[in-house]
Amino acid sequence: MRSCAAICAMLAVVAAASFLIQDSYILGVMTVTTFLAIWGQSWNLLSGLSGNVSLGHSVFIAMPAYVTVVLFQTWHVPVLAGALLGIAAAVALAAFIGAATLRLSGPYFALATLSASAVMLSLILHFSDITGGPNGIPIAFTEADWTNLEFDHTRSYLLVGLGLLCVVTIFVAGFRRSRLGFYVAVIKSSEAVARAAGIRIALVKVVIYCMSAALTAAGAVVYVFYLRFLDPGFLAGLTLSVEIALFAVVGGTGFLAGPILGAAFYELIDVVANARFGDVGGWDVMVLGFSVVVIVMTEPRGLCELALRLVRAGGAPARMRSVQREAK
Amino acid sequence: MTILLQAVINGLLIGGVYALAAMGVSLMFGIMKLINFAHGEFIMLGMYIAVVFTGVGIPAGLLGIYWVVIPTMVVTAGVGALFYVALLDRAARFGESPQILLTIGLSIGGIGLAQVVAGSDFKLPPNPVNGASLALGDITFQVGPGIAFLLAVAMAIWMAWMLKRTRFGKNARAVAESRETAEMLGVNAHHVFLVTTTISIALAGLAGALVIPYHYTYPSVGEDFVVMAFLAVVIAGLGNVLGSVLGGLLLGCIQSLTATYFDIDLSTAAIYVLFLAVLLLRPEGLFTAARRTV
Repeated sequence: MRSCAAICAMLAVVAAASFLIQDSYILGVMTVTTFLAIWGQSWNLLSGLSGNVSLGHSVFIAMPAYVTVVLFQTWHVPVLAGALLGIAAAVALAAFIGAATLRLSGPYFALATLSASAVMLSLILHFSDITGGPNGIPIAFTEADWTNLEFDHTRSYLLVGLGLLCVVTIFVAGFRRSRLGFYVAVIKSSEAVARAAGIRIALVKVVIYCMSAALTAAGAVVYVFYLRFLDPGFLAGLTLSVEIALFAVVGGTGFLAGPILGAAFYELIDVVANARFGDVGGWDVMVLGFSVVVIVMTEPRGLCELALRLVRAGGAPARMRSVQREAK
Repeated sequence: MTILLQAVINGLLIGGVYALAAMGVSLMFGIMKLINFAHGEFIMLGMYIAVVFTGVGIPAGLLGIYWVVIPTMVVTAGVGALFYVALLDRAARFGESPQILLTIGLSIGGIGLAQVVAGSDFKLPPNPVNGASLALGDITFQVGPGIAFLLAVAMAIWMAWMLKRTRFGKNARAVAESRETAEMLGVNAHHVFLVTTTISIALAGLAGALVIPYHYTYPSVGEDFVVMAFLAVVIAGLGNVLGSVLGGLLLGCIQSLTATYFDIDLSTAAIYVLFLAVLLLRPEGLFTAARRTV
């Protein structure tokens, strides 16, 4: 709980600091980082805590985004109502995929989620009358109105994003201490023990998959109004799905701050690569991908663990002395 | 009737490449219990290597563009051996999630690397195979996919023979059945895994070299083949190597039939529905009898 409070305090500081920043590029980078962190944190709720690696979280970004925007623009359904429907659709989809795959042991879940994002993309391309096909849908800005998630300043999206990130972080922290959280921890360490203790493994997994989908979807709905454009290649692409998993892992899945740190790390690479190499793309995903390879091979607990170790190394001499004293 | 037959023929021929990709994925899972999420990027690597070899300028003779298959397979086999020695050997004891993350990281890193080294543009070496077809009555056979199909069938037959008859095949099946027992009987599991990885990645190289005459080469091209390969492998039954060949051909047919009668964009969704149905009703796979490993 202490780390949760520390993270929320840190996010509040970032929110306050954003009022000192006028540069819209920097505000944009901060906003993107915040939403990536929301998705990473939501991904971590499922994959970090339960060990079931989802490689298809972008379906929970594309699905609610399209539902909300299409309902809003075609049938003038209020955005907040549409967002709830979009989130419900994402949860239903998660329940469906989860029910088919999470009761099997083996790599079925990773394979099913990976292919799900490919399917989502092809369906968006097929139903082009509704979705605009490969051209996507631009979101026309009418007036600044918070009930329609339309703000005229990037900072407003950043503040909403930081608030949402706080909520998701508190949710994950609370979840880990809840009864369901203990079930998940038991399942992760040994399914046999969990089964013997009477935990309904498949049901627990499907429930947290649905929770993870709902949190991801909540971030997605706000984010598309920040982008003001539904781009199927980005929202439903395999790349976004896999990126979410990867930067959360780089940050450290066992830590509350891991996915946030990972998102910042990834966005930093992106910014540096853009500044250094301009439009020669690929640097960001290359560094991200190979970082994951290095992390898995050397320090599976991620950047957070490395940071902790540095702190411990700094404080080690003092502790060593006290240990020696106790030994005497 | 002709349309139906033509659709099935097209599907079988497209399915040849899926079958080659699926065979590699399934061989590795069957013996090493590891899904290689970077398999598509090894196909992409094979395509780029093959494209480079086409530029070397060997006169286009009888074999035309296909001479590049041999050097491409040799290079990718080497990369596969390196892949095992540098990463998989140690990752074997990591457990399932880290292995998934390792290979998916390699996959995304590979796409980025290709983009940095070769750029994002689409490459297609000039060749006589692209678009060429043979007519037999009312039915036409695409030459490029046709050659890939024939080689996929040949590789499947070789694979069946190798797993059944050779010393390596027997060792590999023993390790797949129970690594501990096989090691107690003197089988070197590391050696089996090394050869398995090498063969699997060489098959990815073969698939890559076979598609460059008619399929664009670009950094994320692996996704086009590997998602189909993964679905084929699960539908056929994870680890069932010969079943995965049938799975690849089946998915090619479903794709072609959906494209002919509905819309190509619906084919992935149709295959996904089949995939979920198989997982719900027959998780051991369509072509796998009771319990067999390879």
